[in-house]
Amino acid sequence: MSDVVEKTLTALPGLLSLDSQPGAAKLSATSRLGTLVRSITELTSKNEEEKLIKKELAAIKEQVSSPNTTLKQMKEIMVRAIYCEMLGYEASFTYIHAIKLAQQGSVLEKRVGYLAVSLFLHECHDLLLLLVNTVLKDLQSTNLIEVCMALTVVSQIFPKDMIPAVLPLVEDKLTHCKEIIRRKAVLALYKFYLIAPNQVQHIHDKFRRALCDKDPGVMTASLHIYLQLVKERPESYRDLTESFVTILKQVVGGKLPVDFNYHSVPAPWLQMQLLRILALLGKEHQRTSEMMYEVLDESLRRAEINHNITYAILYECVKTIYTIHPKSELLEKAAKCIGKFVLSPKINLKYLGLKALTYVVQQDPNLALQHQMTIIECLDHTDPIIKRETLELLYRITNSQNVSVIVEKMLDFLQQSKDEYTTIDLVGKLFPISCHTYAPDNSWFIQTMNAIFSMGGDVMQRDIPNNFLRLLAEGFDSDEEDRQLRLLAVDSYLLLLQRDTSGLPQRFLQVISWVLGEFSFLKEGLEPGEVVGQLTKVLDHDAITVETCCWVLAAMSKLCGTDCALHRAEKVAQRYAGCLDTVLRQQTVELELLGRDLDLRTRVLPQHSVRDHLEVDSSLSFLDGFVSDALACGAAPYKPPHQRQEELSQEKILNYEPYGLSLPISLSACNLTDRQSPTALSLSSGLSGNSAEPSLKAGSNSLKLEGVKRVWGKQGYLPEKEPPDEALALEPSSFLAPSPQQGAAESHQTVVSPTIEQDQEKRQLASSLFVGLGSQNTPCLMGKPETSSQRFRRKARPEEFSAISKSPAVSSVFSSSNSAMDDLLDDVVSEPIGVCPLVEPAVVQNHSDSMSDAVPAVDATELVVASEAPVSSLTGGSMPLGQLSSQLGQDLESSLASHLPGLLSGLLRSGIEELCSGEGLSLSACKVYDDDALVLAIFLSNTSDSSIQEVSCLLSSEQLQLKGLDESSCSFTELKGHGVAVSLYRLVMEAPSTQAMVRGSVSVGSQATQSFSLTLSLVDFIRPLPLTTEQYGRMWLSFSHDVKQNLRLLEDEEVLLDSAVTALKEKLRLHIVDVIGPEGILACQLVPERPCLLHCHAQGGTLVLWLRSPGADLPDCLLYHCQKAIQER
Amino acid sequence: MIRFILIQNRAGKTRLAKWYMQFDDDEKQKLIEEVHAVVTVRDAKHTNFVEFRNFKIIYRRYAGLYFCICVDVTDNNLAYLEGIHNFVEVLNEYFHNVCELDLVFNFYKVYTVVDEMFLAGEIRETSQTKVLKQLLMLQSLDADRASGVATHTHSERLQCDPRLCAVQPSGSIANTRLK
Repeated sequence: MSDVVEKTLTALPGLLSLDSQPGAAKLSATSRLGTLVRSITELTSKNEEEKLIKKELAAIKEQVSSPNTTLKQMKEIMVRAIYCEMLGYEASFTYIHAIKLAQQGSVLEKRVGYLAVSLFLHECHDLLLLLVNTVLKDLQSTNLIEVCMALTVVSQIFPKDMIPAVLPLVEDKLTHCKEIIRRKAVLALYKFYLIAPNQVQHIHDKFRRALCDKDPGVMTASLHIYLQLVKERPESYRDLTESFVTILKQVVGGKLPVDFNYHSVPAPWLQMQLLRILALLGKEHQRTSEMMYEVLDESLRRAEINHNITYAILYECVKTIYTIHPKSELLEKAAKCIGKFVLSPKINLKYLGLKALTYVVQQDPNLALQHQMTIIECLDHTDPIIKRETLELLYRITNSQNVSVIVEKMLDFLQQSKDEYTTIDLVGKLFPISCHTYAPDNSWFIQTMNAIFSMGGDVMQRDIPNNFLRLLAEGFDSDEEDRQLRLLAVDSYLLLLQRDTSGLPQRFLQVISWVLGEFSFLKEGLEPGEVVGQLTKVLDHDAITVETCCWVLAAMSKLCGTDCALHRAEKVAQRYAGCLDTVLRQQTVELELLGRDLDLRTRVLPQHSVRDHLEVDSSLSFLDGFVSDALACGAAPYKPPHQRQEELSQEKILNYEPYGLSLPISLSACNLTDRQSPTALSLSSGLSGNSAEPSLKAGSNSLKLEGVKRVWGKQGYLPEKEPPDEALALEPSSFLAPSPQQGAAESHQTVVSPTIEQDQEKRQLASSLFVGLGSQNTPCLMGKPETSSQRFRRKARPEEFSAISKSPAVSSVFSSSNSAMDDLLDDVVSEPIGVCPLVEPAVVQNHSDSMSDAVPAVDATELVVASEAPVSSLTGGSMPLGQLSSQLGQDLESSLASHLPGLLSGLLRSGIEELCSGEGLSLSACKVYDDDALVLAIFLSNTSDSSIQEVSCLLSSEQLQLKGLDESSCSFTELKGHGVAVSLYRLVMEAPSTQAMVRGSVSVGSQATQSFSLTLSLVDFIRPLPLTTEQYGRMWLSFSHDVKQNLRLLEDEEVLLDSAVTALKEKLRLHIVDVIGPEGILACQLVPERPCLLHCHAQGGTLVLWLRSPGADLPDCLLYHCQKAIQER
Repeated sequence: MIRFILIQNRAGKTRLAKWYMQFDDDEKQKLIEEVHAVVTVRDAKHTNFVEFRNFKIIYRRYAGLYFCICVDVTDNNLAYLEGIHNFVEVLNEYFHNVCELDLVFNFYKVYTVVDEMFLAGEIRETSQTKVLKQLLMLQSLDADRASGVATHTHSERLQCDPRLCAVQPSGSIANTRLK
C-alpha cells in the first residue's frame, strides 16, 4: 500500500501542472493547490481536515492582503479559496478579491474571477453591486469570450434592481452574429423573466424572433421562456401552436443536424420541452388540441428504441395526450404505453408508470383496474419512493368504499416515515379523505383522526386541527348523529388521557382539551371534576407549551360546573397566577372570574352554543364606551398594524417616546383577531356574545376538499368526460381476460401452496382497494359474480361481500351529510370574512365625483373567455355552441343589462361578454367599476323552457380576494324558463400583479356543470385619484418604492407628452394632476386606497416614466400597463 | 427547474456543488449532508429518484461518485437522469477517460463544464460536440498547457488513489472508470 501511495505522489506534480507557463514561482503556486488537495485526500478525520483548512485559509488571507500579490497569483489563490468554500469552510474575505479579479484580470484571470463570484455570492448579496460595472464593460467588449462570461454570470446571479442597467445591452446581443452569444442572451432574459417578469414584458416580440432563429440552439433556449409564458397565459400564445407543432415535426423527423442527437435520438430534451408547451396550449381547448394530434402520434411511433431517453420522451408524450382535449385513438396508444411502463422490470420505468397512472387515473380509472395487481405489489416495494407514489395513486381513487383500506396503508407509511415534508404532505391528504365525506362510520372517523393527530404531530398544517374542530362544532344535518360523534370523541379522548400523555403532540392536546371543555357534558354521569383532574395531569408535563396551557385553561373555564371541578380548577389557576406570559395570565384570571360567577359564565359560555347561529358584531361597537373613556384618559388611539408599520418605515428612526397606556381591553380585541388563541374558538368571542364563526370560517379557506369534491359526488365517481374507450377497456381486459398474474394464480389454484394464500391476500386487498372504481354498473372486480365467485369462493367471501353489502347502508347514512358538506363548502366560498376592507364614506364620495369626468370610455374587449366547459356526460350531446353564441351576442347587451341591480346602475361598466353555454344555461359576465372594488356580475340565463332548480355560481381566485355581494346572490333555488339570475361578486386585488385569473363554476343541484375562467387586468382595479399639485408633491416625497423606465418613442417632443398622458388617462383611468412643459404628473389608486403616483418627462424622443407608491409591487405592475397603453396608442 | 447539482463521493466529500437557488452557507452544508444521507443508503435495485424536502433528487452513481441533481417535483425524472449521463459523457471526452482524481484536481474546470451545459437552472446545451468545441476554445486560452492532463496512464492514477480503491463498488454501473 505504501508503495502505491508513493507512486501517486510522484505522479502528482505532472498532474498538477495547472498553469501554463513553467517556472519556479508558478510551480510553487500550483503545487500549493496540489498539496492542499492531496493532503486533504490523505486525511482521515474531520478534525484534521478542519485544522488543515484553517491553516490554509490563514495563509490565503495573508496572501490576498499583500500588495505584492500579482493577478496571476491571485487567480491561483482564488481556486484554492473556491476549494475551501466547496468543502464548507467560509472564506468570505476573498469575495471582494474575486470581484476585483473579474474586474482587472486578463481573460484567463477574469474567468476564474467570474467563476469564484458565481460560486461565492448569491442573488441578494450586497457585494454584487460592485460587479455591475464589470459586467457592463464586458458586455460591450469586442472579445467574444468576455461577452460570453458576462452573459453567463448575468444568467446565474444578478441583482434584480440592476436589471434595467444591463437589459438594453443584453437585448442587443439577441441580434449578435454568433449563435452562442444569442443563446446565452436568451437565457439571460429567461433568468430576468423569472426574477422580475415585469421588466422584460416589453420585449416579447424579440422572444418571437428568437423562436424563429435560424440556429436550433437559440430556438431551444427561447422555449424556456415560452414554457413560462404559456404556463401563465396559454390563451395569448395559442397562435404559436402551429409553429411549435412544425418544429416538433421537424425534430421528430430528424431534420436537425446530427450534432443534436443523443444516443441517436434527435434532440430529445428539445422534444420534451415542446411536448410540455403543447400540453399547456391544448389543455381545455379542442381546436388547438386537434392541431397536435398528428405530431403526437408520430412522436409515440418514433420513440421505439429501447433507451431511457426515449422513455423520457414517451412519458412526456403520454402526459400531453392526457392533458389536451382527448382523442380516443391516441388515448388508447397512450394507455398501452403506460401499461408497458408499469409492467417493466426496470424499476425506474415502473416508477414513471405509476406516476403516469396517478396522473391519468381520474380520467380513466379503468387503467388502474387493469394494473391492480402490480399496484398492490408496489405497495410493498422496498423502495419508499415507489410506495409513496402508489399511495398517491390510491389517494386519487379514494371513495367511500375503499377509504378505510387506503387510509390504513397511508397511516402505515406515515408511521415509518421520519421525514417532516412527507408527514406534512401525507397528513394534508389524509385529512380530507378521512373526513366525513368518505368516512364509513363515526368511530372510524374519530380513531383515524386520533392516529393522524398523534403521527402528524406538530408539523402538520395549522388548519387541520382547526377544521376538525369546526366539523365537530358545526355538526351535520342530524342532531342525533352530531351528538353521537361528539360523544365518541369525548370517550376516546378520556381514554387517551388515562394513559401516558407525554408523547402526544401539542396540537393534539389542544384539540383534546377543546373537545373535552366543549362537549364532555354530553357524557352522562361524568363528573366535570374528573375531566378537570385529567386535564390537570396534562399540565404537569415538562414539554407542554404555553399555547397548550392556554387551551387547557380555557377548557377548564367551561367545566367549573360543580364544586369539585371548581376547586380543582382554582388550584390550577393559582399555579399560573404569577405567570409572566400575558395570554396565559389572562386565561388564568378569566378562569378564576368565571369559576366564581356562575351567572356570568352561563351568559358568556352557554353550553352547546356553537350550534346556534349568533350575530357577530365585528365592529366591536359594544366597546365604544370603553374606548372613548380610555381616550379621554389620554390613551393613544388604535392604529391598524399596517399603518403602524408604514409610519415606522417613514420615520425610520427609533421611537423614544413611551408607548400609550396598555389597556386590558386590547386583549379581547386581540383574541378576536388572533386565530391561534384558543379563546378565539369559544371563550372571548363568547364574551362579545358570539359563536366561533369568524375564526373557523377564516381558517376554512384553506380546507383542501376542493380537488376531491369535484371528482367525487354522492354517487361515487363522476367522470368529467366520457372515457372514450370505456367499453373496450372494461369488458375484455379487466374482467374476461385475466392479467398475467391472474392467469398464473388460476393455474396454481389446483395445487395447494402457500403462494396461493399470499396471492389471495393480495386479491382481497385489491378488491377492497379498487372497489367502486370505474363506472357505476361495474361495482368491483371481486363482486362480479359470474366471473369471480367461483374462483374465490373459499376464502375471499366474507371480506369480498362485506364492502358491498355495507355500501348501501353507508351511502344512505352519508348522503345527507354529504350534502351538508357541500352546503358548508358553498358557505365558505361565498362569504369569507374580512374580504373587503372598510372605506371611509367621505373618500368614496370624493372618488365617485371625479370618476364621471375622468373616464370617457371603458374598454370592454378585455374580457377573455378562457375555457369552454366540458359538457357533462349525462346529457350526451351539447347544443351547437357557435349558433347559440352568435344569437346571444346581438342582444346580449340589451337583454341582460336590465338585470343589473339598481345599486350598480349608476356606475361605469364594461360590455357584457358571453362566457360559456350548454345544457340550457348560458353564462355572461360584466365588470362594474365600483369605487372601492371591482364588481363582477355573472348572468345566468336559462335558455330552455323548463325551469332549473338549485343553480349556484361559485367563483374562486388565487390572486384576488372575492366576496359575494350578498348571500342570496350566489345560489338560486329556482331559475325559471328563459329567466335570468345575476350573481354578484366584489373583487379586491390585495397583492398587485399585472393580471389575475378568476375561475368559476356553475352547478345545478350538487353537480358542477360548467366551468369558466376570466382574466382580469390590474387596470380593472385602478381608479383615478384626484389630487392637487401640492398634495401630489407631499405624497411623492413620502413614498418609498419607485420604478423608472425610459421609453424610446421617436416622436416630436410636445406631441409625445400630450398623447402619452391622454393615452394613460383614457386607457388606464389615471387622473391628470398637472402638465407643465415637458413634464406631466398623474395619480391613481389601486382599490381600496393604495395610491400610486406617476411622473413622466419627455426628453427628445424618449419618455421617462417614473412611478412611486408606498407598496413594493404596484409601481412595477402598473409600469407594465403604462408601457402597453403608450405603445398601443 | 434545477435547484442544485452536487457531486459527492461515497464518503460524502463534495466534489462539486453548484446552486441555482439561494441558500445561506449553513443551509448548503446541511443540504449536502442530507443528500449524502438520503442517497448513499439506497439500494442498487431502487429507483434513481428520491424525494427530498419539497423537491426531488435524481441521482446516478459512477464508480465511487454520486452525481445528484435536485429538481422540482413536476420535472421529468428520466430527462434529468439522462442529463446526468450526457454530462458524464462530456466529462469523459474532455478528460479522456475520466476518473475521480481528474475531477478532484481539476474541480474548477468541471464547474466550467457545468456552466456550459446547465445555465439559469435549465439544461442549456445537450449537444456534446458543441460543448466540447466551446470547452476546447476556452482551454486554448491556457495555450501550451493542455498536455498536462494526459501525461500519465489512468490505471496508474486510479490504483494510486487510496480512497478511490477503498470505495470500489461491487456491482451497478461500476468500473473504476466513470462510465
